Amino acid sequence: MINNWLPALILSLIVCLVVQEAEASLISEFAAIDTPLDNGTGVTLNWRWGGLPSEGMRLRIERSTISNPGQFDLVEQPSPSSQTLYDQGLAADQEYLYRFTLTDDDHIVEVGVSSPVTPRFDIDLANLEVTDALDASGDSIALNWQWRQRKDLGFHLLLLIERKESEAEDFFEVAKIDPAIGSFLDNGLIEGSNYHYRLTILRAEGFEPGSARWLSSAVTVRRNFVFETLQVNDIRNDQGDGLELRWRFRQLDSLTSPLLHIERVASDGSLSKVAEVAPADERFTETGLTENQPYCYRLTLFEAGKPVAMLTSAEAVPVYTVFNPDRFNALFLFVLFCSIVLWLINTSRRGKDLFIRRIAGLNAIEDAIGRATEMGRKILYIPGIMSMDEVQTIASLSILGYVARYAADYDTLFEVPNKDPITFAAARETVREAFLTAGKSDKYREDMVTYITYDQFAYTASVCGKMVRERPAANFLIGSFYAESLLLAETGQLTGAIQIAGTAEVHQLPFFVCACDYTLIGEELYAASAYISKDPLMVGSIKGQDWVKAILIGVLLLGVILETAGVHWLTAFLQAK
Amino acid sequence: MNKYKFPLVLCFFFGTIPIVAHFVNVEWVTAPSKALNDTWMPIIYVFAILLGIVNVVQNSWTKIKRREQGWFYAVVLLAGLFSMGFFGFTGAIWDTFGGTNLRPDGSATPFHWMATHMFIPLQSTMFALLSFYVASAAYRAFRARNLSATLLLIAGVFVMLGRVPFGDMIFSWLPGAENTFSGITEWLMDCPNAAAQRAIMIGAALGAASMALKVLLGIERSYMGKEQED
Repeated sequence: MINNWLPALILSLIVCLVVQEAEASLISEFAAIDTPLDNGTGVTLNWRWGGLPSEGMRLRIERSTISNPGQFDLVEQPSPSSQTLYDQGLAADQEYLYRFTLTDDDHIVEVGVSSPVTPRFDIDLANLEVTDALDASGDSIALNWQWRQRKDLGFHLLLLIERKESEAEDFFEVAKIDPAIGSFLDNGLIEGSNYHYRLTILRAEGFEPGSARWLSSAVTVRRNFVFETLQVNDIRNDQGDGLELRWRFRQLDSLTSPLLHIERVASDGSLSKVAEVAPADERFTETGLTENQPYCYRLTLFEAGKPVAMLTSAEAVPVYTVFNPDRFNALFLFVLFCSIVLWLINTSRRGKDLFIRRIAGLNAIEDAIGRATEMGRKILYIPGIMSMDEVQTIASLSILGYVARYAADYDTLFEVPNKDPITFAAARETVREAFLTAGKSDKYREDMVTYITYDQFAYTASVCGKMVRERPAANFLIGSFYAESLLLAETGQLTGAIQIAGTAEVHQLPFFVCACDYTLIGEELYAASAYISKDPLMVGSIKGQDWVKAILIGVLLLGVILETAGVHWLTAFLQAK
Repeated sequence: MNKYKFPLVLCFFFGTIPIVAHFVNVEWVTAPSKALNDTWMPIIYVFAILLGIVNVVQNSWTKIKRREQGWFYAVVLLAGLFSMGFFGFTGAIWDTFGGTNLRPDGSATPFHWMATHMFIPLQSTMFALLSFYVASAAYRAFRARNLSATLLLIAGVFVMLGRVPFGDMIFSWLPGAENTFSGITEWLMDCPNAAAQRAIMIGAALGAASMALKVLLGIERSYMGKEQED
C-alpha cells in the first residue's frame, strides 16, 4: 500500500512547495535611495530576502535612465546573500531606475523595478591640499581643505582623518574634527617617510556607509631650515591687548619676492588671517586682542606665491600691568637723582656755600656784550633750530634772558632770529621781560626778536646774510644745532665777531670748537643759568647734578670690574628696556 | 597769584604727566600724555606759525617802507612768501592750477615747479657750502700750535687716511699691514673718540634732567624772563 501512495505523497509535497514558492516573492523589498553625505554621484540599493535563495540563483542589478527607459545596463551581480549595493560614479541630479532580476539556471524567477531615484549633491571637497608643514622639526604634515556643501543637510557632521604609511597598510584614525575648521596639522610623524591620508565625512552619530571619502596622494615629511627663530611676546606696559611677533630667517636673500603670511591659530585649530608682511621686517605687532587669553600664530613664508616654510609659535598671553616692571631701574635712578638734587638745593637754601668750577665761555658773555657796546654793533643771539620741547632750547632761552638784560643795561643793539615759531614766541617774551626787569622797557622793540622761516637752510641763509651785511660784534650760538652749525659759526668767524657757542649735540661740538671763541660743552650749557645768576637754588641743583655724576662714575668703574670678573647683574639691572 | 604762578602750576602739571606715563600704564595718564604730543602741539604750532608769518610780513614791510639797508631782499622775501603761499593754499584747498603736486599728465603745477626749480636748488646750494666751510674749519683746527693741537692733527691725519682707499694702499705691499690706517682709524673712533663722546653725553643727559627738574619745580624760570624766586 505504501508503495502505492508514497510516490503520490512525494509528488504532492513537491507540487505544494513549487506552488508555495511560486506564490511567495523571494525579494520582498527593493529600494533605491540617494546615498547620503556623498558628492551627488551615488545611489544606495537595499533589498530584503523574503525566503532563502537556492544555490543556483543569481541576482542581477541593472540600471536605466529615465531618458532611455527601455535600456537597462548591468550594474553588478551581487552575491545572493548580500542586501546592499552602492552604485557610484553617476551623474548628479539625473533620474535613474533600477531593475533586479533573479534567475535560477537561466530561468527568470523574479523581476522587480525600483522607484526612480535622483543622486543629489550633499557635500564635496572643493579643494584639498595635503603638504609637508615646512616646519623646522620635520615631523608634521598640514592638511587644508574647503567644502562645497548643500545648505539643508540638517545634521551635524564630523570629518574623520585617517592616515597610512604604505600602500599595503590599512588606514588608521588620526582625528575626528569639525569639517568646518578647514585645516589640520598632523604632528609626530617620522622625517623622510611618505604618508597617505583619507578624509571621510561622518554623521556625528557614527559612520554612514557610502559616505564621501577623499584620498590624498603620498606626502613626504621634510625638515625645513628656513626659519631660525619665532617668538611671540606680550607687549610690556600696554593695555593688555597686544602681542609682538619676532622672527628671523636663514638665507632670506636667496628667495625671490618673499612674503610672510601671519595667521592666528584658534584653540579648535581654525586659522584666521592676520596680516601679510615683508619677511625682512622681522617683527609684527598685533593689538586689539583680549587680555589674559592665550594666542598662537602660524607663519607661512611664500616665495612667488608658493609656501616654502611654515612655523607655529608657542602660546602667548597679552597681560595688562599698571606699573611697567622693565622700567624699575629708570624709576630707581630717577628717585635717586631727584632726592640728591632736592637735598642739595635745600642745603644751598640754608646758606651753605657751594663751589662751582669756572666756565670760561660764561665768563666771556659779559666781555662779548661789552665789545659789541663799544663797537656800536649788534649782538646776534641764535637759540638753535629746535622747538621748546627740546631742553637745550629752554636752557638757551635762560641764557638769552641774561644776555638780553645785559644788552638792555648797556643799550646794545640786539637781535634774535628764530627758526621755530614756538621758540620765537617764547624768545620774544623772554627778551621783553628782560628789558622790563632791567627797567628799559622803552628800549624794547618788536623787531629785536624776529621770525625767519621754518626751513633749516633758508633760515641759515638768512642768518648768514645778516652776519655778512650787518657784521654783528658778538654772535651767540646757543641751543640745539644740526647741519647748519658750521655754516653759521664759520660765517661768523669770517666776519670777525666774537663767538660764544653752546650745545649738547655731540656731533656739532667739534665745529663750534673749531669756529667759535668759546664753547659751552654739553652740561655747561645747562649749568649756565645757575652759573650766571648765582642763585642758591640753582647752584644747589648743579651741585646735585655733579654728585649724581660722581655716583655714576663709581657705578661705571664697578661695572667694568664686575664685567671683567664675569659678574653681569649690574649690567643687567642698568640695561635700558 | 601773580602772572608767573599760573604758568608755573601748568608747567608742573603738564610736565609731570609724561614722567608718570613713562612708568605706569593707566589710561587716564597715558592718554593725556599722547594727546599733548599728537593733538595739542600741532594746534599750538598753527597759532605760533601764524604769529611768525605776521612777524615776517611786518618786519619786511617796515624795512621796505623805511628803505632800510637790504630792503630789496625784503621785497624778494615777500614776493616768495605770497606767491608760494597763494599757489600752495589755492592748490591744496580748491585744487586750482592742478593742486600742489604733479598733474596726471606729468606736467608740474606752479607750486610744484617753484618748489622743484627754485626752492630745492637753493636749499642744495646752502648745504653744498658746508664742504668749503669744513675745509676752512679743518685748516684752522689742524694748525699745530701746541701739544693738544698737534695730537689732534696727527689723529686727524690718521683718520683721513683710514677713511680713503689710498690710506690702505700705502702699506699694501707689506704682508699683514694692508689695513694699517683703517685699523688705526677704527681704534681711534671706537675707543678714545667714543669714550669722550659718551662722557659728554652722560654729562649732557644729567644736565638736561637737572634742567627739566628745575623747570618743573619752578626753580628755573629765566626762560620766562623771570630770574629770582618770588
